[in-house]
Amino acid sequence: MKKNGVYILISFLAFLIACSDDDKKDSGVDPEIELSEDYYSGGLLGTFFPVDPSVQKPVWEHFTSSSFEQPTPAVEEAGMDLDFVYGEAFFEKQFNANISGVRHGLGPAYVRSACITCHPGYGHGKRMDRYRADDYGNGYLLVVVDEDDNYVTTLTGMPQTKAVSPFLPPIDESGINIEWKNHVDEFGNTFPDGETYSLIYPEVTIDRSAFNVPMPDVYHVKLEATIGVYGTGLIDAIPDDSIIAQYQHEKSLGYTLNDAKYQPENFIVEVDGTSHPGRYTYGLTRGTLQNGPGANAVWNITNVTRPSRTYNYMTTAYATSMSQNKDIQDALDLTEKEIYDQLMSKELPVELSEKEYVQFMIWHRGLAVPAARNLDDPTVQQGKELFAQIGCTNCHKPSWTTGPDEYTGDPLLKDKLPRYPYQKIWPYTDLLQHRLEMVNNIRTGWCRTTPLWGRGLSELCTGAGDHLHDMRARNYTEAIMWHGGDGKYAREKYRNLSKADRDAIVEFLKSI
Amino acid sequence: MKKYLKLPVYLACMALSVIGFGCSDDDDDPVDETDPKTEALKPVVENYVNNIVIATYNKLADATIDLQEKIEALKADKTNANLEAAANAWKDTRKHWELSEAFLFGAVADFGIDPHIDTWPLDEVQFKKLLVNKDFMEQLAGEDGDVWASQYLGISLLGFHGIENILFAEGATKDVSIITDAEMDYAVAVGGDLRNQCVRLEAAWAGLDNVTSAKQALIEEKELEIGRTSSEMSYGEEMLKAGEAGSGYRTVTAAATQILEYAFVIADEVGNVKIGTAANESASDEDKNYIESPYSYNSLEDFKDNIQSIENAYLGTAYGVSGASVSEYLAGVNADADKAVKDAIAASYAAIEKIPYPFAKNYTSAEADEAVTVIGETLANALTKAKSALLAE
Repeated sequence: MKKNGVYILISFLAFLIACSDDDKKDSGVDPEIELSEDYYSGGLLGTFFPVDPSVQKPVWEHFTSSSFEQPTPAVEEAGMDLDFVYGEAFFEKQFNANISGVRHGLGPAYVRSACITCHPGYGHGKRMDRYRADDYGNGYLLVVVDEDDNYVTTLTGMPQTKAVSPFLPPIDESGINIEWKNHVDEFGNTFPDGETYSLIYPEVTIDRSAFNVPMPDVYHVKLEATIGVYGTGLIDAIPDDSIIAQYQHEKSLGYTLNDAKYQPENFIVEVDGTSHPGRYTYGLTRGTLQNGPGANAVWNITNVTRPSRTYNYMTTAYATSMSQNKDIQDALDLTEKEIYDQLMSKELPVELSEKEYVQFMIWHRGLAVPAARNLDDPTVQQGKELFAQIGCTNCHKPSWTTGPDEYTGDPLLKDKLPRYPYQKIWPYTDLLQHRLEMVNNIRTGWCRTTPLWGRGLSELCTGAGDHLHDMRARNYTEAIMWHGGDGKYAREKYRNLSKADRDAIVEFLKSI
Repeated sequence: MKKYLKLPVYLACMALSVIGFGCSDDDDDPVDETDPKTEALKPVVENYVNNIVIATYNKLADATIDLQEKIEALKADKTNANLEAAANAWKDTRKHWELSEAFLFGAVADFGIDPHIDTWPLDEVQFKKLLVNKDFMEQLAGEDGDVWASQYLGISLLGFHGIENILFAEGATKDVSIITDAEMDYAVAVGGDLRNQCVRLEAAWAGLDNVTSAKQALIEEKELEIGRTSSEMSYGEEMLKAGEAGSGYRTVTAAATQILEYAFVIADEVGNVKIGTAANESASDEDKNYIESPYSYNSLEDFKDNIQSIENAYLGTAYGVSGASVSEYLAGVNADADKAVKDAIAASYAAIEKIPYPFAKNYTSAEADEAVTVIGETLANALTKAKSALLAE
């Protein structure tokens, strides 16, 4: 981690003390240099600046490969720096199957043994040719559905492919096959000016013999990739009302939206009794960060229990299958009933303490968004204009303003986490779902607009720069050309731009 | 508990921002690649890539090859002499690895090699089960046991600390007679994987053509991936070509910045995590057991080598070869910032020296607390300021 958020305070003080008006005239430098507000991707309280923004405008060379891993100024202001460092370890380091000691309690079945495996460099997962839980950067989750597109109920929603011996994983990963296929779109993968591109998409199958739970006659498999974890605390600070207003706004523009998600009776009810429209995950299944993807993942990816989750992430079908397995009975010297009761117990010993969990959440809510770069570059400026002009901003809504950020979701975390009240932030997403109608599409066809902030640093921070829900796009151009459905109009405009204009849009996207 | 940034630091930063670069000349334009700064930093980056990073990975890879030979010799003939040789080779290998920790970016991060070879603590529950799992042990003892281990053993059973657990106990080499055949099969497979990963690291930075033919053959035989999707270049080439088309480093300054950023990252880790989590008010009482290299009592040596790694990166010197350094550059533009880093490095060595041996039994000492402050705050902050000075125009 790093600590440059302090620059904001420094800049302000420096401005007050350092340079008088006379200095300005003499040196030709304005200490309060004009940084446009969109440099502050995460607002004043949530942006990581590698240089003092009162003195230098952030440009590419200021950013190193640790740019996604920084604490926000709010963390520092709240004096939570060390908790941030300790919390970070639960994300970065491996959990193990030890029965005591640091980061113990992995399994019995698990999806990954460390969070960072799926979020390399704290960013998106990488495109993979195979599915191995231990392959660093494999951010894929398997989505296993029946013939009606419903999750197969004998598996957990995020199916495990690893287990602590003598247990078997619900899916043996050696039976998972990923095949990348070429796709030719309606334009023959060619722009009107003759430039070509190529498109690929994954087809995934799992051998029937790889399942250690009963499976329906028909099942299909898709991939969903992780996204970056930085800035998720800022997304949490956006008021529910603003999201609902955005839904109504887009509705009035004629978009077909997933209306059911915005009926109060369908809102997500949290343990503190509050209810919220979904804002996280492709499927909009999570309403607050405090019960969000990360808060859940540290439990259900590792199957490490904590005081509020003293049970396994596991299906009864799996517990039945394991408890009936003679080898497992022999190895554990337990009866079928004893094994079943242990696996399905609601009162398992606590493995991650409350204190550790709070530290993890301080880290999680405390991750800054890197400042935007080179926004004054004429090409970037041109790209920014075009991005709005051709309609990309209809869904990739540039900015939001956070509310008072009296965050909710889990009473345990009340008053313990960094906060981001009244910040103008620039995630470039409307936080709504749209249909992009691509071949071998995401489950249900509805996909939340992914935030674009920070993505330009992906190659630097993770060694890869793949895009879209299953990482099928290897660069920005491919990602744009995969946009069907609600994105069709903007894609058509993009296609017909000159090469220079298309490049300018991509340069803008890299800069934010 | 230590507050990460205290008021004096704010004031110091403020002073720096006011005096050092608060009212400098030009702050809008990106660095012109033909400017004097670029010219000055180019040899710094070249020296860093060739004589620090690649040189260290070369020594590390060689050491792992030697370690693997020693482990195999021990398996073939379990004598105390062979055990001593393997234990010494482990410590030597460990040294080069710790000397590489001031540059935990590039291949070591992108390929996840750091967790792959240096995860701790060891998963002792799974380790015990492994030794009695006939199928798994057969795989490990097989010809490609190293490749099998890499894919199927699980990260908490791989790497340095798995081998350490076989060779050492309570700060000394074990009595060779208590090391079982199964443990030796495990050590050979995991030692082979450690070697493979470190050879991979060297080749990913230096380029396949620039490693020995024996290493090239190993990479081919074990099908070790050394490329990546985002660039055709080796990691070293990419940094050397900073500012040129195709390099992820858009300017030479960007590459030079990386040197200081990752020196900071390991200072923060050594001070606040490796020493700090155990020494300070920690994440939980259980973290009191969170000691790196607990079987060999090598922790203090590890910490010292990490500081040496920072020093190597900063002064541009490693293994007796010196070249242009970021220190020299900074001395010319901000002598105070340069001196602060040098002083903090010296203070860090001294602070580690004062912690009573072994760390595994003295992590709550006042001396350990002091080392947290010196390394986790003074050195880390000095490196942060050095980075700011480097980026100032």
